[in-house]
Amino acid sequence: MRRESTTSGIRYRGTPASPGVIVGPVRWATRRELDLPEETIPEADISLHQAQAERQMDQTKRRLQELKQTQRDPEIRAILDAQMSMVQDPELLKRVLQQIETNRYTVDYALYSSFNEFIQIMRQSGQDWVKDRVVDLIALRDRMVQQSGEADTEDRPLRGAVLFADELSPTEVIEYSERGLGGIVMRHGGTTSHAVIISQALRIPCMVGVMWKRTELEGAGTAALDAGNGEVVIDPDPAMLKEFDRREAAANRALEEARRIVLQPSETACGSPFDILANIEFEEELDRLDSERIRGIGLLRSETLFLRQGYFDSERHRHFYEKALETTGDQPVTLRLLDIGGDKLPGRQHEEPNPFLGWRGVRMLLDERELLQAQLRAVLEAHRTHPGRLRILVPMVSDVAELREIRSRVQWLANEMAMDTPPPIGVMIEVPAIALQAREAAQEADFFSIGSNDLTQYVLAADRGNEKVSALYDSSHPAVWRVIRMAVEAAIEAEIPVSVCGEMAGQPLLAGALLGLGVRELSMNPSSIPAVKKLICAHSLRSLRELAEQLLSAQGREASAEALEHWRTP
Amino acid sequence: MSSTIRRKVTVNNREGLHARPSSVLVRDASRFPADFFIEYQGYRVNGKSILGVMTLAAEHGAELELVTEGEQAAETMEHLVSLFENRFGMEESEETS
Repeated sequence: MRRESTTSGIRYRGTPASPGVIVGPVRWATRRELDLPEETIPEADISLHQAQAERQMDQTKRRLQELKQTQRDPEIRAILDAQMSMVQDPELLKRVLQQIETNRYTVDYALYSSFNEFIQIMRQSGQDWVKDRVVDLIALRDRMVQQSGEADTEDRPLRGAVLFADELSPTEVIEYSERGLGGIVMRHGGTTSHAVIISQALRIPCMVGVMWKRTELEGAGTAALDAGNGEVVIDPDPAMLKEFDRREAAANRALEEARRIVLQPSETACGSPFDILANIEFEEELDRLDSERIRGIGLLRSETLFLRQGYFDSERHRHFYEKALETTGDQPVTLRLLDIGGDKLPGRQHEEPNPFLGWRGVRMLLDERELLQAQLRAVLEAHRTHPGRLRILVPMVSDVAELREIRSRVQWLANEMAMDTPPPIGVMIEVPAIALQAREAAQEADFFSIGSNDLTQYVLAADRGNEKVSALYDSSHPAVWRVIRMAVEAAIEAEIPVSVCGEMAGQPLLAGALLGLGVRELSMNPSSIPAVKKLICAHSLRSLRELAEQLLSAQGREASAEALEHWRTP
Repeated sequence: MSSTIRRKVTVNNREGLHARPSSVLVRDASRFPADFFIEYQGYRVNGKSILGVMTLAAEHGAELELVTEGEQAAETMEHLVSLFENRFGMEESEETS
């Protein structure tokens, strides 16, 4: 952190934590460290104070719960869950009750000193993320003891203001954002602190590591904060103010453009329609979907829930699938069956020397009859409540017999459940063997979905996680594109839908080239959508076809990289 | 009949047993009736206490000893060990699709 004096006033530098530019009135928050004196009570009052302690902990938990109900962002909700589990911590409660009983502490002093024991240990921790939780604990402690542990902002309006603080707790950031806070400058708080994570999710510009002094802020009017560049200027002069206005306008334009692009129709410059869908992994992500106007889910990963829980919980899975269907209105949802290695099954300790060539995906599912049946049942039940929208995607298929086998299991279960039309069943094109037999596979599959990440690693025999060979992992390699072309052409010939759901779909130029190959459906992480859509909408199919041609006919990796580079800077 | 089961596990998550994994561990452990403790570097904490688990500050590669006692001790242990082995379901998504 450096401090410089300019004609403008003071300029502080710090660490960017959440990007954004804002010019607004200066406010500061000071936290008075609570320093409670030790107080004791007569023996007769012990049970009274113990009951009061539980009540105060419960009230704090309820306040957090109310706060959670106003928040839709999964990141923020997870942080509030963590706060609630701290308030409900069994060891904390045990200590509080014990201190009231044996030391005869008052309820407030018992809470205060029990929290302090944990705060003490965590302050001494060598790990930053543990230290970053200290502010959470102090805020919870003070909230519980005083039933208001908020940093003092002197009750001045916060709308559009730049708030200077020592360190804010997560709940403070949420509450201040509801009062319209414009930006945050903190002395402490690492980039993994909850305050920072929440400011990112709420898009509040924030920087940390700024040793501001109250004496330098007193009497100041305006602060200009450019958090992405780690810079804040107090009382900027007109020229500086103009510069910040320009930066603010540029940042807003970029955001505005992304919003506009998401809303405009998905059509190439020559008017050909295409679809962009979302890859979804967590239930929490579903809450963000409708605001981003997604045209359905192209890849619903079911393994993450399984791995989180460590076993297959039919109820939770059905609930997740149904929620995905509910959130997407009348749009399609493609659900991928468990795409994991067999070593992830509960009770299995076996290790494979080469797991990516091992017992995973459909290979494991066909051997684990009960697991497959449990998942298919959950899928069919969700399908029954939302007919006509669910599609089943089978991972790691290397032979059409595997697909046939899955189909017969689905059919058998559908009969048992008295269901006339089970969902369509598609093949994940990721093993080269099935891509090379794409024509045969297209006769048996209802759709193709190309998983470009694994396909790339299998075609090039390169693990991108292995740094010695990761440079060989290159999804623009002509060999990868020739294999993809086989699959796309076979699907078009057989008149079945084909989509791409790997990271390739989220890279604008490669996504454009996929359109050039004939793909009309791409699925990607929601955050990649604006950039991909912008590129495709700006080009005609003819020029995208040329790009695809160049990748296909490139002499090798270097030539395809050059072709892409040339497209970027024509 | 109450039994005590001990198992050694290694923290495989790159960032150690940080906020998310520790909350998954505590949440899952709390669903079982068995008592659950974690021993590390001479400390022993209640594995159903998020504050206790956080104060361990277990880093990547740390070797912990898990202890379960009482009703369903074996099932509890099996489930908790699998959480460590699966890295708490995190750091997985990059490999798939």
